[in-house]
Amino acid sequence: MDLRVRRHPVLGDMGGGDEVTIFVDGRPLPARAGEPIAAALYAAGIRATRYSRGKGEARGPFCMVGRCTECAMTVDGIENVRTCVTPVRDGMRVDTPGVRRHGPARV
Amino acid sequence: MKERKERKESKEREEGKATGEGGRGAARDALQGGRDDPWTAAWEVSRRKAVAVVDCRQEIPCDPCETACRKGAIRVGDDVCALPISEPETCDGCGRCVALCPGMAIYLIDRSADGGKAAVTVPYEMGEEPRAGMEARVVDGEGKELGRGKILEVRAMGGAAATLLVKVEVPETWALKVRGVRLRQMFIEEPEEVEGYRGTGDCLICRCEEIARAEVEKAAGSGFRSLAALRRASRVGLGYCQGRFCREPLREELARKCGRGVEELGIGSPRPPLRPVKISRLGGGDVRDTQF
Amino acid sequence: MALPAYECPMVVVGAGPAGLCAALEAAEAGIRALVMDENERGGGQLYKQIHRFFGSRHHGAGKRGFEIAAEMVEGCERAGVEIRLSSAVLGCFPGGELLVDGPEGVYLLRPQATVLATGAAERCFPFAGWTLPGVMGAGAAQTLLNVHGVLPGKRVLMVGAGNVGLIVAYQLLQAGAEVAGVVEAERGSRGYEVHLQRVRREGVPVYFRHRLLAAEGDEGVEAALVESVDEGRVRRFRVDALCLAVGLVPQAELAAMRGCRIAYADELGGFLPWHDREMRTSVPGVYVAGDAAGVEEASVAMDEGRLAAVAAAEDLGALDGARAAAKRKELLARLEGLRGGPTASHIRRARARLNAG
Repeated sequence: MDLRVRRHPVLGDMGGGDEVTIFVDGRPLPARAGEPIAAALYAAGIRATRYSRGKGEARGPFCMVGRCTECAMTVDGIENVRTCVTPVRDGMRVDTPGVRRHGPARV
Repeated sequence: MKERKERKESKEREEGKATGEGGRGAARDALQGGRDDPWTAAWEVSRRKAVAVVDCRQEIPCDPCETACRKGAIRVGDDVCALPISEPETCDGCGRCVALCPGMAIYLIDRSADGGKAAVTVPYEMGEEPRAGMEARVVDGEGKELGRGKILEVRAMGGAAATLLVKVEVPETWALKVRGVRLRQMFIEEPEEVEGYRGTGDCLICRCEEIARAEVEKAAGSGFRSLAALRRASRVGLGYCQGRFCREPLREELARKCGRGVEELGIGSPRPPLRPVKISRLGGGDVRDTQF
Repeated sequence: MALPAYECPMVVVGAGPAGLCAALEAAEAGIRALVMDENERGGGQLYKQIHRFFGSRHHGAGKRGFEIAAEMVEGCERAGVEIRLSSAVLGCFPGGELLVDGPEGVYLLRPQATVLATGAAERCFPFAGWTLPGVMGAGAAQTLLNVHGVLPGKRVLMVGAGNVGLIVAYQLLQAGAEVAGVVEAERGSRGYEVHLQRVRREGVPVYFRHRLLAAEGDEGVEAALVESVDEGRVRRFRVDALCLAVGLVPQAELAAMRGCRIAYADELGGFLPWHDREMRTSVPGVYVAGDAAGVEEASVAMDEGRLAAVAAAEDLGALDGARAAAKRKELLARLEGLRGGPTASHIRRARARLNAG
């Protein structure tokens, strides 16, 4: 899944910038230099940034301004990093905290 | 001045409960100089040249059309909520107002060419790039497709992040109906019917601490009747977000349960720090591993 | 533990339209305000806005939000206003000290005047599945779209047909997403007619008298269940993102910590610091402006910011009574104009109540 916007009618070319590589749960992922970790993940269709402590449910970016902490991940070994307000760096290790147990039941 | 007075009176009528619409209609008639609508004069003039039609129907605080016009053909006046009045004779059809209107509610009509055709110029800010010679779907104000029209010209106006002005050829009878062109076909499937829907069950109210609505109801039912008491009873609102995302729903839930107004529950007593911060940072310790 | 503390004449909390205009107005009166903002960029929410703004020539109307934000930040630079970014004000103590967490570390500020221009937060409502990835605030979607160039989904359902919901629905389309619909529980839109029409023109259905029941999915949203309020009919929309635009709430926490009297006005977003027409709160030396003083338009926030600075400058003795009165008269007239139309009748009602006590 690719959710990147490349050309925008008002903002013009959005595809520019250097590319860096981050490692998400060990797998390499290209990112745009300077963008927040959560944006790089979301652009590649990785929407779940953590699994909740109690129920093990998937959670993802909710406020994108560093308030809700749903996007908190383990970055270079440091826990609880708000990935929506933390820019990527080349070679950064990003790990998904929590263990997936179940999702909400389907109706 | 007379118009201003009428506007004021109509505002007062509205404040005083008797609803404003009728009164505002009268004020609008006065603003339009007694003409039936803003289009009549423009329609006549458009026989000779391209002219702006201002389809602004709601008195919202907005006046860029007035400053956009270099000919002084659009006036809003001192009252920023007044509907603009345009003078089609003075309008030179430059299109700046079309580009700069924040509501994208101004367009140009030009019926000067013969053959039962009109050229309508509309603002365009979507991703698919329009080019002269292309066929585009032409839509009215409700998004209903009127048919197709040929794009005659595309120009960019309105600063570095410009708005495109798309001139499209349509039958003359559509000239006053056209409000937009659409180049993209969205495949919006009809939503499917859900038969025998039985409800979704409970849901979380506090995302961080994973507290279900039922738990909160139960706590409120057994006497925990303030946000602070609920927090102590269930940890609701005590997670990383510090209650930012469940505070409002919690208050509503509690108000319902207690038969009180939300305002009676009060804002609570927020305390520093407003967002999580590591103790080491407050104590002047190592600042590198501090994210919250 | 003793944190470093600094004295200063005026601190403005928040570098949005209200805060920046407060700082600009203060600079005109010869006061060098320090503007604190937790974000990396100044301009508040304006820099995420790509549509052209309503308002008058005094508010940059006709320009796009990010253009207005850039102009205000430049204006501040020219006026010698220091904007400290990535600096969160974590607390406001009863003595007036502000606790700041910034790149320099954690420190205290002891301002003579404090302007709280902290803006508003997105309101939420809980429903089954609202914790699924892909469910997010409309503001969050806007940040992803317009700042980071990432779509929240390929096909999106918007909940709420107020101005925010309609504007973000349009912006989703601009960036290339499909919008499966806008769902609104009321009979009509609270937003401007022109916003509603723009969305409809692009072929997006707007479902009035419909409400969201649930989001479904496993690792993320796959569908949304929507019920028509009058018929009780339930339908499933296949979407991969769900945006919530159900209102904004003034951020009044700092004012509450400081001991400012808190008022309530549903029409203005809920709890807010009580203030007089001149933007003084109940605590001397503390002023409020913008969405933190009640959710309204950005243009209103700008003039409120200026009003707050005029009051602060007068109280600090930097502006004599006559000049303050003249400035105030002009600003109040402008605000009255902005709140003059029929779409602002609820604002006028709430403001009248607030001013009465």
